[in-house]
Amino acid sequence: MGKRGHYLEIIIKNFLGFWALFSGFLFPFIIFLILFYESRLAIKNFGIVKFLTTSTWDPVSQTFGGLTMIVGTLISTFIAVLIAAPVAIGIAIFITELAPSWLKGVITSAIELLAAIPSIIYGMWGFLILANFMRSYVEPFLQKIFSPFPLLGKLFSGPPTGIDVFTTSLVLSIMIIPFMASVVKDSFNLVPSVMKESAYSLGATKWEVIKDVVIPYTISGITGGLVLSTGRALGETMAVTFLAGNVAQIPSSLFYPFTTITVALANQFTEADTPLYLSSLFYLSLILFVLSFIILSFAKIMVLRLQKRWK
Amino acid sequence: MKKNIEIEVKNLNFYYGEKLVLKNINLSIYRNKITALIGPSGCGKTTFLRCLNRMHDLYVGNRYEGEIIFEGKNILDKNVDLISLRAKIGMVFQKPTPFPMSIFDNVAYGLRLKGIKGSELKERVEKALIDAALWDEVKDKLRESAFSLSGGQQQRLCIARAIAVEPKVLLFDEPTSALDPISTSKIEELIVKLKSKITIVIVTHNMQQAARISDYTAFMYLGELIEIGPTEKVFTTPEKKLTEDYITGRFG
Amino acid sequence: MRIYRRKVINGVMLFISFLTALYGLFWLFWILGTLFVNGFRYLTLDLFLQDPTPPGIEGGGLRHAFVGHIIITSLATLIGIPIGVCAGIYYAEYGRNSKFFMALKNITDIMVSTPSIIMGAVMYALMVVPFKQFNALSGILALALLMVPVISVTTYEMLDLVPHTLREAAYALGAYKWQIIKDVTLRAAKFGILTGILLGVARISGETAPLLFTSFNNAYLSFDLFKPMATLTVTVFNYIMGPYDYWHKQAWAAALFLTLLVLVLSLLAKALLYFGTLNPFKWKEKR
Repeated sequence: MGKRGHYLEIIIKNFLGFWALFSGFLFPFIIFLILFYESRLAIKNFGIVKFLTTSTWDPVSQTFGGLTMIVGTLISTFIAVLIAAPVAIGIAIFITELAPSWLKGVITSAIELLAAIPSIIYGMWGFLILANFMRSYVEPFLQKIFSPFPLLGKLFSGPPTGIDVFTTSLVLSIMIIPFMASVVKDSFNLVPSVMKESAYSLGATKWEVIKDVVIPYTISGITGGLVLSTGRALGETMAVTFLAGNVAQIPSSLFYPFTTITVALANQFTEADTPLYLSSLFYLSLILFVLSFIILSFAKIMVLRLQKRWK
Repeated sequence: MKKNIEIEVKNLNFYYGEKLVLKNINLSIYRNKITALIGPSGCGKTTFLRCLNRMHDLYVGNRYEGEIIFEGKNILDKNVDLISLRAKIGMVFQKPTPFPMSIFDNVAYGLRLKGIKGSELKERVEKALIDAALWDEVKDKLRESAFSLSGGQQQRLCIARAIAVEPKVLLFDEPTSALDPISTSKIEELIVKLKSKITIVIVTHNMQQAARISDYTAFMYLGELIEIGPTEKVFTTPEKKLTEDYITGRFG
Repeated sequence: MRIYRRKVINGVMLFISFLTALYGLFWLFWILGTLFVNGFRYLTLDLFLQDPTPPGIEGGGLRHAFVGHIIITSLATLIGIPIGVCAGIYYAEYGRNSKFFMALKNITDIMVSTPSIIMGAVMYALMVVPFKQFNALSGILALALLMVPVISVTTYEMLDLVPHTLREAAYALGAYKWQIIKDVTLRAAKFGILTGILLGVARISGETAPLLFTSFNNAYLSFDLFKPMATLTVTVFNYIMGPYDYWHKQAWAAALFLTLLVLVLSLLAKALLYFGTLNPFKWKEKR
């Protein structure tokens, strides 16, 4: 081989290295650049603070403000994670501590199935099936229960159409449960049995062992999974597009239709007929990209740092 | 039951699935004495130890036969409350297992489960740490994470944690095999001191350790109890040839 | 008495965790159940063989969407796999000692979970606007770029599992690094890498958002990469949002097909991993 092998070594290393540089740096950087470049018209017209705090989104008067989309994204994500987190932990507990071995595999496969379903399926099922069910039974029922209460009543007010914050957040939560449950389950399996046995040998019940040893031991994995799920829920498009209602308002109750950044993008990219309109949509994309990048980076840093600590 | 026997094991058979792993074990554990279990790898000494606090119940597919009499009752009975049993028969493991909490919270854990709080809690934690010969080294950093301690200190912390609930019996599963010689001798010293208040059963693959610290030694081989007796007798004039072969290093 | 209370709490909490498992199963059965029932009901041979009828007129099929979906997905895969694998190899074999490249690997990890619609927006700016029309190529590139982070991360992780001793044995025989990678490491990790690839393909097969304004949609069968092209996912989206009943029925059938495709790919990936670990070397310990 000799010289030829040596030259090949250099060529191959640089070739591979280029693609590594691409996927880890050039790729996200170019995305940022393009989004930023396309948003420049909107940034010039609306600035940063004003765009983030204006709720008017009016193609007619060419005034665009991203507040309704941003708030919608944050609210639906927050509620979805609120519902999904305890459920995911409960499922992980069931799989690792309670289920007999034959059931373990079944539930794990069921969770993986849920994770594999494409998001458009969630969207269309939600739209054609769940929304009707919500409108006909669940939402009127909830309204009846909560309307006498002052604050809660307001939360459940409005015409129950089924296309609203409630249904959207519910479907979103179902979509993130499998991923979170998987991460938590894998973390739980990393706890050495001697650690658990030490707690049992002091006379602890199973729940006490989970609460006092397993969960604190795996808290880094759980938190990482939580933040990661949040990042994913932020960017979910298809399910939300079907169920949110695409109304540019800040919802004042769970039963109001609303919009998110992804909904606006999915519905309006093809409708944008002026450069300013298009630029504003790109501005929204930029905000979404930066927001999700920050949250996902936060998750990564947290997991890496906690991993180092517990070593 | 004789007054100085803490645990009496009668005709104990233990199945792991279909496999008979412990065969017809009969022995007595004497109160406030150290009983050592020795034997080659796989002889069943750890399996036997884990029967005494029913640790096997945590996993599926295990079955006990026979009786283990403690406090006048058979602890292998289905109706026995494992939670209170395990607070009376504690265990220290091979590798130190500090919980992800502060030093104080580690020792306090078993006490808090029992509902002990406030000044009584503080006193008992301090007492346990003193008895475990760790108090002087940690008294100024009780709130620090248990992981900040060295290996030997962590093991003494686990011992403090186990004795804080004042068990009648303490089971040790090769407690020093993961430690350096200095930590090992500290812990051996500690175990000898503990026996005045607690009955001790220790599994060790280190014969010299058994000879050093135990009052009684039981030799096991392939799931059977071959011989048990006062340590000095077992090591100098063993009754069975198999015992003698093991002691003199002919196998194992 | 206190022990009794602790036991009750224990029982209640564990029962609640059982309920959460039931909760998950409930949704799974409801969603897959309706999908299967409705999908099978409207699954006909015509769906695969015929092109769509003019809007409002019953009948027709989705041949154009099936063909378009295959074209776009396979071309995206052809572009995405080599890039992803190359990057993953570099991270695992050359970049481990470099803080810079490990940071890049972490960024790639972050890109895996980035919203897919962003890719569509970027490709819109890069390729739709200059060409002044929606085109399949932009959709292909959007999907390819979506695949790259997924594949490079799984390639990295699979290579990471190969024991260091294997590489050292090859070095000791006097081989170049690239020879070791080609002949030893890649071969050892090939099942795992293949699994990652299958999972990447499964993922982009179900994607809709990045195609919405890149490859857009087309009512006719087309092989032209510079024109809009129909895909199953976007067609399902349009049909569901549309007013016609027969559109909804066809959408259910197409959705069922899509889901089965993704499930089969995922199952294949798992089976591959299982068969891969049946070989005599057990990659249990990480480096």
